[in-house]
Amino acid sequence: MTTLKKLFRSGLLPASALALSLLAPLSALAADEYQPVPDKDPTTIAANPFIAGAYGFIWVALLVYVISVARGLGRANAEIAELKRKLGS
Amino acid sequence: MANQAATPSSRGPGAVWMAAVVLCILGFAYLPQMVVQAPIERTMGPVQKIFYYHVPCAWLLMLSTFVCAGGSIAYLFKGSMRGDRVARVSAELAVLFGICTLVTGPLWGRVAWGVYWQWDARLTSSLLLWLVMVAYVMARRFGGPASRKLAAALALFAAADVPLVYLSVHIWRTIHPKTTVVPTLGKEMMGVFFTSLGMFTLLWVVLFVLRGHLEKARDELDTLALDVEDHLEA
Amino acid sequence: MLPRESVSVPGFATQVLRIAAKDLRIEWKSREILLTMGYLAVVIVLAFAFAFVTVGGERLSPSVTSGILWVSVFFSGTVALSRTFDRERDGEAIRALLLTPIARSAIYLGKLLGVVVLMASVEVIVVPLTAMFFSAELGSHLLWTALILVLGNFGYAAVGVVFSAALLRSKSRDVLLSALLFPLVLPVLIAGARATSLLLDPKSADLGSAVFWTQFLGISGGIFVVLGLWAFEPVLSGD
Repeated sequence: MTTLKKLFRSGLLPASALALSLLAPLSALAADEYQPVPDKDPTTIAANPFIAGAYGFIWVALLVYVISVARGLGRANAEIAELKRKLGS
Repeated sequence: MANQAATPSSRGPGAVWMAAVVLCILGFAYLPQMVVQAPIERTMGPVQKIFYYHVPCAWLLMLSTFVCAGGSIAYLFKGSMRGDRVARVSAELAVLFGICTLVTGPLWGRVAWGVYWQWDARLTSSLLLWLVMVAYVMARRFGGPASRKLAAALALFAAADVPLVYLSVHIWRTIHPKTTVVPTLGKEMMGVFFTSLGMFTLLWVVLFVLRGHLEKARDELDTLALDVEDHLEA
Repeated sequence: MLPRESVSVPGFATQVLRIAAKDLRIEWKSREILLTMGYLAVVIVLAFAFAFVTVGGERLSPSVTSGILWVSVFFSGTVALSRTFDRERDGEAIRALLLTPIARSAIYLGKLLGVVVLMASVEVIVVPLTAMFFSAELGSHLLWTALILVLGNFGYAAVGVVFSAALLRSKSRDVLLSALLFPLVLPVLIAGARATSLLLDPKSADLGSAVFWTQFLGISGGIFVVLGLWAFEPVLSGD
């Protein structure tokens, strides 16, 4: 039984290698896509709300998460203190 | 029974963590400035700058999934409760950074490609990965006591999706840029990118520790509640 | 009175086949799961047929037809999955099964095989039915289509048996099973639907892509089975 597991486990690696070689890329190689241009004026102002939205969302999401975890931690610690008091008394 | 002094911060984070938090705050205060000063990309214009936050979030989604799977393996095969805690914490972080990735990406795509979404391999597999991690978090929250092992199994299968997500841009013709783009960045862009990546990873560690403390506190609460019950019955 | 010869444990393959045969034999007596699955699959196909009725009676594109087929197979598959451990759950037969000297992975593969056979039996009915309702050309690559379906069944069941076992004692088993299973098996659905649609299209000469998706199905199925073998035992032993 363990041999079967070992067989599968050792077979997985060569199988994955075979898989990756079989799945030959269908797409042609794309040209390098990022080319920095120094000091060029922004051409589309319409992009700004999206940039602001993207960064703003991340900030808000992280803030909400941190605050909710911190509050949960505060509450949990308070309850622990309460229970420890009950046990101690 | 020894009278234990009730210190509210007895389960609080330590000094090293506080230093990491300060570093994080400073880093993230400075990062937007770096991004603004970064050179503007030729074809996409300023909207390309979403890249500096979008890619680290995607990287953290994948990292969190792997850590979750690692913790799940430890729990499933060694019975490690610590592994289970690690899995639960990193699953939440996967959902968090997954949302960030899946929101910033389409916002960027709307300007760069003209569409918010396309069912290409990279986007579809990323969405699937995120959905599975959401399922993990929901199973742990609402699934009851048997959900630990169930969720752990979920994490294993989710981890199998990560290589698919990463390699999808190379295997299929996708609208999403390839991973080979990063080494071709100019020097200044590279600097901003790797600073952002480093800052986000530090943030991940900070959040991991914070959420981990909450998890430990909740576990302690459970044991204490049982102790109190026994104590009152006695 | 003790037997004179010692009882020998059958080989692994025999164990797997015996588990599968046991389940299928019990199922054949009542045919409850088979009939429910078949009925559900047909009803889903019919629902799609009515929902997509076009005034001019034009044929739906092959990709839509193939999608309808796979969605109905997947949804009816949840019946087989949720029932696969039902008989063991009632009467705590699961403990008896776990006490036998059969390898846990043999139980997994046996259950997997049983579910695949059930799904294939339903597909024998549903696939021609779908072809008829949507005027799809099934005959051109019949064996290949069958292979794709069987590979898809394996991938689907490989994940499904693990979660069915995990939800063995859960009260909201049926709801949770579909909710948890579907995001994981969507790659199988995508690959299967794409491959089938390429085969159903009489105009397309893009068999190369069909080969690719078939390989994808085979490989992802293999990966899921390996993961399932890993995860099955700890998940089954319960908390």
